[in-house]
Amino acid sequence: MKIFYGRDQKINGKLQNDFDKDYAFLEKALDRSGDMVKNMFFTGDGKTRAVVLYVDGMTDAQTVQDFVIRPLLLANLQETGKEKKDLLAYVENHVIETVDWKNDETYEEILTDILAGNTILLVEGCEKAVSLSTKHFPTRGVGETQQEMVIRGPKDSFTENFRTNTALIRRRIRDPRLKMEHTMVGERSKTDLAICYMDDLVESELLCQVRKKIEELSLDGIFDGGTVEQLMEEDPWTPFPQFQHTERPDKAASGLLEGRIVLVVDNSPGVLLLPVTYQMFFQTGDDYYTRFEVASFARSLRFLGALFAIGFPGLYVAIAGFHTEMLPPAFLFSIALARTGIAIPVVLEVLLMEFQFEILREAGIHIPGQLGGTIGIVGGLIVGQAAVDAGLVSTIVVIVVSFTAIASFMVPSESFGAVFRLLKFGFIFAAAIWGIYGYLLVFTALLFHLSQLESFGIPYMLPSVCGGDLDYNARKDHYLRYPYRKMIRRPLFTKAGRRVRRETGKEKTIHESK
Amino acid sequence: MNQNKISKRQLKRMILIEGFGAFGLTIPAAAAWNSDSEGLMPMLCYGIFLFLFTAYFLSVSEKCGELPAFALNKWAGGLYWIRLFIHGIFLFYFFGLLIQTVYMPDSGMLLILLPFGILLWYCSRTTLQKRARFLELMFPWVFVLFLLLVFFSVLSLWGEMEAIPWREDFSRMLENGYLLLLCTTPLEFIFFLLPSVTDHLWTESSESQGEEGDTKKCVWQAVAGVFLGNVLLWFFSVETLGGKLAASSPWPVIKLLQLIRMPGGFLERFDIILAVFWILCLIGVLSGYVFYGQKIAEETWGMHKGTGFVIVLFLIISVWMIPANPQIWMKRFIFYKKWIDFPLLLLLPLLARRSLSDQQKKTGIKTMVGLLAVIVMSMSLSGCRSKEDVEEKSYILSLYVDDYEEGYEYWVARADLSAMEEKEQSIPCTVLHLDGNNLEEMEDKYRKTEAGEMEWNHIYTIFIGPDLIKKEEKLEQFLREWEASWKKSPNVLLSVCMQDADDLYQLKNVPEASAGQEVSRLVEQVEKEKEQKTQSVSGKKTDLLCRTPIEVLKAKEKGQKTICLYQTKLRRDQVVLEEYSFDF
Repeated sequence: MKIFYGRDQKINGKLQNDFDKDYAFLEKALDRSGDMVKNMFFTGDGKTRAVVLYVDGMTDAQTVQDFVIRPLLLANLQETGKEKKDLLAYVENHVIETVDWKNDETYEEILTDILAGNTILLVEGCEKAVSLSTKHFPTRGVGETQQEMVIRGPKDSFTENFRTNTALIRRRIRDPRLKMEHTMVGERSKTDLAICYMDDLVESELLCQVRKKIEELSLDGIFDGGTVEQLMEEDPWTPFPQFQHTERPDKAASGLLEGRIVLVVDNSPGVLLLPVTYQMFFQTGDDYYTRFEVASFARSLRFLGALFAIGFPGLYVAIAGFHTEMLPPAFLFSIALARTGIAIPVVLEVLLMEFQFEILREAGIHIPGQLGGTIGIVGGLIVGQAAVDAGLVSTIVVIVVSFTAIASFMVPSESFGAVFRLLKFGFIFAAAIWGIYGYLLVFTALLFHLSQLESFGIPYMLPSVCGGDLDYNARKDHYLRYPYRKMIRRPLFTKAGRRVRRETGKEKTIHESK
Repeated sequence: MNQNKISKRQLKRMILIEGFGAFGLTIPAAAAWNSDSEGLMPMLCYGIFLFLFTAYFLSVSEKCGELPAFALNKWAGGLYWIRLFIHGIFLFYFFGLLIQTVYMPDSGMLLILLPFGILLWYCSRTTLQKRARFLELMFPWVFVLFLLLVFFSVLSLWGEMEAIPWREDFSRMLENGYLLLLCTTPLEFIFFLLPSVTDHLWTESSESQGEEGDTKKCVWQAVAGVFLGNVLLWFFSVETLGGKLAASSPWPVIKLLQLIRMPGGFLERFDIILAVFWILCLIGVLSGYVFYGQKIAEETWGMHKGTGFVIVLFLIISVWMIPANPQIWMKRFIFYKKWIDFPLLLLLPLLARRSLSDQQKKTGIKTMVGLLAVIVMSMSLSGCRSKEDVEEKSYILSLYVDDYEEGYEYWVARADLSAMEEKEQSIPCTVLHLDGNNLEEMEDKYRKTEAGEMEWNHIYTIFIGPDLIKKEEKLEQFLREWEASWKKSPNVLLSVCMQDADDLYQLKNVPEASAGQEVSRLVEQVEKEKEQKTQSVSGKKTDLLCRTPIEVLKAKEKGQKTICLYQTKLRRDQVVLEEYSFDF
């Protein structure tokens, strides 16, 4: 018996209504797989054969034993005298004692279900196989978020378990209009993916676009949302993320209520939100759980921090190398004094320290456990001090680089913050060659690049662009966060006509009088 | 989203940046050129011209109805293309010249213009909507920097503003007014932008047009903004430099920026930061020339592949080939603008929309990233050239200048960093005695004998010696040379010193040769005391003392016969300040 895989990596063929042939086919497809359990037995009449197939370790064997095999061992299927179609219905409705099952007809469906942790029951004389939901993966529980920590507000985060993640969202929005369309991506990995949206708030054009893009996804293995993100983004050449990745269920839920779409990908401890605009990367959970004054202050600090993170070292290089006239004499001479005896030029000095910081950061991530943080601090302090003592770098550069490093961590999104760290080098190089003039050219190029970006048809720099034509309270959740009472309308990407977030007193009165 | 449409706010911001950007730094010079009213009357005349110009373009655009913005007939398209290209070349050259002269005198034109050209090419690969977004994003930076300029200018002029005379020759008023209008001709882009304005940016419909009355209002508001911005630049430049000095420089606004000092002394000079407003505007205008040129080529002749790249490449080559004689080229350009370009500018919109032929629209431009990467990488290597670092420069902290035969005698006090101790108020210096016919010659001699590039931006005091103060012509020549140089601090204190330079620099009780710093500090102290006494009553400076070379020149141009300066005297090894008056 030969097994044929199509170009789409799917097995061709369907059940042949011959128990021996079908079982042999499945055995052949799953041979040399030590974790497979193939348990053949006779039902209660002693003549009808049945087989259960599942993957050991991914399935709850006790459930299979108690609610599938045992009832079948007691059932007399031959006495019922039913036809093949009726026999299947009889087994499903009167014998097995589980609530979650479905019929599989093709080999592809059967094998995918087995490998997804379900149990396949094949009964002699039945025209289809029964797929029983008995998944029981080894997963970790809901833990605290590692990347998007808040002082106030929920602390739970998404896990690698697809179902847990959808449940965490569903738990927050008890509205039947929250839809979760399930599909599979990855030709060999067959990863579960859910498209979540609020039926009445999502723009249908956007939803169609997302569905189409997901259908077009083609890769053998998808193991994280990051891969989906890169395959779906419109401009693959930009360093800026075109999806928002979050570990926080509350952020995902609030995104849904703004008419955005959430993609939940199995094995990914976070979900993807789309469309996205740059200012969303500066928002944190804290912004919405603390008072608006404090939240606004923190948010403006983040924007300022981002500017420093991207441009401070470049500015230092430009001023020290080209525009010393800008500095007051006392400060200038103290820089000159600090640099006396240092052999390498300013730009190399800054690059040296920047690379040292990046190396420490990268090493800190890969060093196991708590050692990572310790090595980072010790490395930073000792290596920095040693470099100053050895006359490799000046104290002022240590200050510049440290301040930049701290500022770069103010951007709450890791994927967005990483871009700042990368682009910083562009500014340093341009400043080293052309001074502030080069710095300005890179800055303008960056502005231009950002103005060209779109996320699913929405300008990335919204609401800083297309102003005057935005049908929502853009400024009220931008650099500052206004009080909730003032944030009446949902963003532009919410379905037209559904943009009122809360009814004001005036609207309520009109509504009630009607 | 409709990629060929723009919103009203986008229109407003595009007009503001494109209208204001091209010649913002030269506007005061154009206004004050040979003007008896220091440019006031020409500015008023310019306001009227600008009103008529805008009204004309609004009416022409209205007649064109809803035709595609860049679809022109072939002849008109060709003429437009040539005009835009010539403008592009001159603005490109003008920009490079300014950056080279003022900020990067050691760098070649190609090194300056190549990255700018690459940026322009990059900025041309877009749609009208995305270009509008780009200018929209630039706008807050331009606006904030311009506001800062205005704020600091007001601050430095507080209590010192003078009335501007109203007299003017009628023909001069018209000529300068016309010249000013020529500086703002990028406003002609209204012709391309108006048909693209819509109220429904988020729908794909190409028919959706903006409400006419509102759109016109936006245009008028933007043009009023351009006018106001130019008036402010002219006013502050003329008040700070005086009409003649403002007219004598190609970029009087840069001079104005150099004179602005940040309160509290946090930054010594920050003209480059403030000048960013103009650089950003110019990027907006020049990228506009390339973009509109490209769009015309696309929609008129169906050319599409690499048009932007070709335009930018030709711009760079053309500018590179222009011989280094800016004044001749400037004169030719003004002649061309006056007699050829402006009439065409008025006529072309009338002819442009007639007998449109069908166009084939194609999209897409082949990228040449590989080639550019090689260019940029090779440019980066030039960044590693032997450049002097901050500690290697020669910081000149004071200069004593006196008459010597046909030329001058200079005592240059240079900061001696090796002798400097931390937390010292004054910096010890070493003094070099040089002579030369002018500053340039002296600097050449200095370079031959001493290491380190001379840095004149932190100089505290220039001492005028006893012989030079008596020779009016030579003193004026020295002051003019100082004023004309972009790399020398315009804020330096000018003081007369009747003592010998050797005596002055051997002052005891202060770090070696730091007399210049001591005098500057003393003047600050004296001025503060004076301020407390006088300004609390009148709010206006009462003395006629000149402190800087520009103030002396300005006073002379205003016909002030007696000039008053601080005089440095030595009494029992102490510096004492007095006032010194002389006829100039």
